[in-house]
Amino acid sequence: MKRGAALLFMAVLVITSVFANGRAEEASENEFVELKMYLVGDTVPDYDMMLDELNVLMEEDINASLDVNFTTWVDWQTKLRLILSSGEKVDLVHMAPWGIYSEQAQAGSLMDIRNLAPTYAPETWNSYNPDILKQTEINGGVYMMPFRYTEPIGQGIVYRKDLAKKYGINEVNSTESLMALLKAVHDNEAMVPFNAGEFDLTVWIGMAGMIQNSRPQSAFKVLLENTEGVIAYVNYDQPETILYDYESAYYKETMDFMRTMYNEELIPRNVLSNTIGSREAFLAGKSAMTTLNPLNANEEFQKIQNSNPEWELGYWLPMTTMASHEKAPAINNGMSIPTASENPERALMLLEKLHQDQRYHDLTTYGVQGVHWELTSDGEITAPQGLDLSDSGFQWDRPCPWGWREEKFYRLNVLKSPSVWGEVKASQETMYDIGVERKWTDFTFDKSNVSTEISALNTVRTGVFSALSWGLMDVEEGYQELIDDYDNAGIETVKQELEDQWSAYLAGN
Amino acid sequence: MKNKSQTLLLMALPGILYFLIFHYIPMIGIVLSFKKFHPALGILGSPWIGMKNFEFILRSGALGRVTINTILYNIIFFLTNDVLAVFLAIFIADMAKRSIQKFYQSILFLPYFLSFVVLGVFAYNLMNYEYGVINTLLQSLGMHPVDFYNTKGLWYFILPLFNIWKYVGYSSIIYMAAIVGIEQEQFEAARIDGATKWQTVKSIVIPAVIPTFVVLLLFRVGQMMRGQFDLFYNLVGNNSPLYDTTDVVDTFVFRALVNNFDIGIATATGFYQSVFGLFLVLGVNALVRAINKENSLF
Repeated sequence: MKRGAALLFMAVLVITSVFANGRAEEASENEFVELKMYLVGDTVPDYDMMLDELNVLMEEDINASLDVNFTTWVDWQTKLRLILSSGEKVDLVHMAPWGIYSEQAQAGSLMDIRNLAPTYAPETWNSYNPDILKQTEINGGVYMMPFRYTEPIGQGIVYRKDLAKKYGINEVNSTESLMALLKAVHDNEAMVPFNAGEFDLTVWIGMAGMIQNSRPQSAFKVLLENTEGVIAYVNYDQPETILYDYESAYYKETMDFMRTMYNEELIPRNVLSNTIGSREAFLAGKSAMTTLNPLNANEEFQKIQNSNPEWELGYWLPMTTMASHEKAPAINNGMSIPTASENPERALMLLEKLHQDQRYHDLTTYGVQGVHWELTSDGEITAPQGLDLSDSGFQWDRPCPWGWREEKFYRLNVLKSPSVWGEVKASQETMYDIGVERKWTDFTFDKSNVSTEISALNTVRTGVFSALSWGLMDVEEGYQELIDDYDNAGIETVKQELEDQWSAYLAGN
Repeated sequence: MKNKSQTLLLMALPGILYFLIFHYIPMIGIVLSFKKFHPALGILGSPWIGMKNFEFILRSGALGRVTINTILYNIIFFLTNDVLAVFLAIFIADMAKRSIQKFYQSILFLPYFLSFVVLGVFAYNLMNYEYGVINTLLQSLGMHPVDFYNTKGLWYFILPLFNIWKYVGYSSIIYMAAIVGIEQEQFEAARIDGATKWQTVKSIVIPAVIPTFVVLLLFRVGQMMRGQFDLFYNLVGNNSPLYDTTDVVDTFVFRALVNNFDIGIATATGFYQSVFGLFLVLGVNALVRAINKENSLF
């Protein structure tokens, strides 16, 4: 199925590039145009109802209409890459540093907006302080209109506190207490203690490193990473020395920790083939823990309060005990214009409206007023009478309005809302206290000289590295195999290139 | 005469168009294996980088493994599946009642319509360590559970088993057709001469299905470098501890594309696969022609 899609894509790619003859005439400014936008994740049932209302506003304001497509979460990065590299005429696309922003900006599939934005989205453009724009820079160009919002940060563990208490553990806040909980659950309950699979494969390895005793204790900057986690980083207080994940003490601890998890049957033996992630299993009562970011943790907390009020939940955000931590990037979400767009001017005009007009913000974020949301007399957002939010046709904030979120309009601020889960709120307050300004934000590792080696490294990461990190291999043997595979893949060449670029960058700053 | 060839050409047209659009035009894409693909520059405009993309195949250290696995599995699949299919066809053809014949055929044919995606989920539920049907059964009999997804060697049996389950019914129908085509007089003559069942099978049926067998073998060789992507991907997926015994060229190409999204590298790997496959077909065809000229394809 996937392969079929890839083949079809190749065919389309070839045909379009053979027969296409350059960019068509640009639509003049007064002509009506239809903009096409791609967003990540899943849509909501009433999205078209909202879009009809939005299109009425848009026709009046900027003489355009909008067509929106969603990638769904299945293979969303691959789908975005296909859309962007096939040259499909898309005008707006959601981009994020946690997605494929820097990669696509380097690949040349996104438009540098420095020339157009000041003319067509002046208010928003001028609202960014130079620091934010600097964070969006890739090789000197700006390829994204970031949102204006500070996001909650971190990846934490949500666990069943009721079970922990049952077995004499007050709180999970260390590898020891976590292990104790999981072992007790294994011995006494009919569930796989950490029933990991699918989604966990991309977050847990990094997470497991961050709960070990020898993990970095203060802010650090990631220089190179891939889907399986961090590869190279530097500590803020010692930027000259590049550190590598696989050589670090905490990775060795992680391997031992995960090997124990595996041997004690605290994770599914066949975790790499499990197509159900721990989040689903946790909701179904088939796992004693899962890993979630603060927003998702709060979301699931609200759900569980309704579905299983007898469960008590705990949230452990391991980063809160660090001495300091990088603040969330100011550009964590944003919208980009693909180079294939024929209407970049109009796309920017739409972004200006989305950022500066509360009506646009409200529609795309909460749906149609009166149908999907209401305002209380003191201006708080609330569900209309008799509407259950969890199966309403437009779940607030769900259909990816994140790319143009504005703090000044946003009605669901996690730290402000009274209904938010206390544990999440507390952890975020700590994160805020230990947060330090991000450094060296405009450094991006230019991989073009070592792309072959990087590709080979990625193959090792999905191979031995993931098996070893999930405890499926004997630690010593497996680690030796990992080192050998890394060497064959050319890790020394990559290190050399990274060190050269990094020291040149430091010298120039 | 002219009219007749026109009609025939017209009938061939959809097939020709299909090959043109999906097989010949995309071949232009092969140039990408020597280029660093840049979306903004397009296929023809991207810069040439020589053989650099092929370096990845060597660096990844998987070339030997995936080539051997692909060929090995194709041989295993052909031998198990087609030999079994021939015997099944003989059995079914020999059944007296037509209704029973039809019944067995349908039952065996049914799995062919199931998608491998379904099969993958099916397999996980059968074989996973904690809740799998097989392991639950073993444990209730007081035996140790088997960690299927972490035992490399077992997959030389598991994969062919699923392959047979899915395809044997389909293949047996092809051989049935060959058996039905044998003239009844030959069987009558054998009976009159007092031949046993086994002698009839050995001297009449098997020689009659050999040409079919060889043609299918040649088709199979043409695809020998194509592992059955669906089967391998859905049953094994990202389970890297099994790669030693289950990684085939197709899953390797797929991962190269999805993990790195380097189109040049994926194309280079696919190109290697095609060239190797071409030489295999030519080689085996030459071999068949040397043994029996009639049976070769060209």
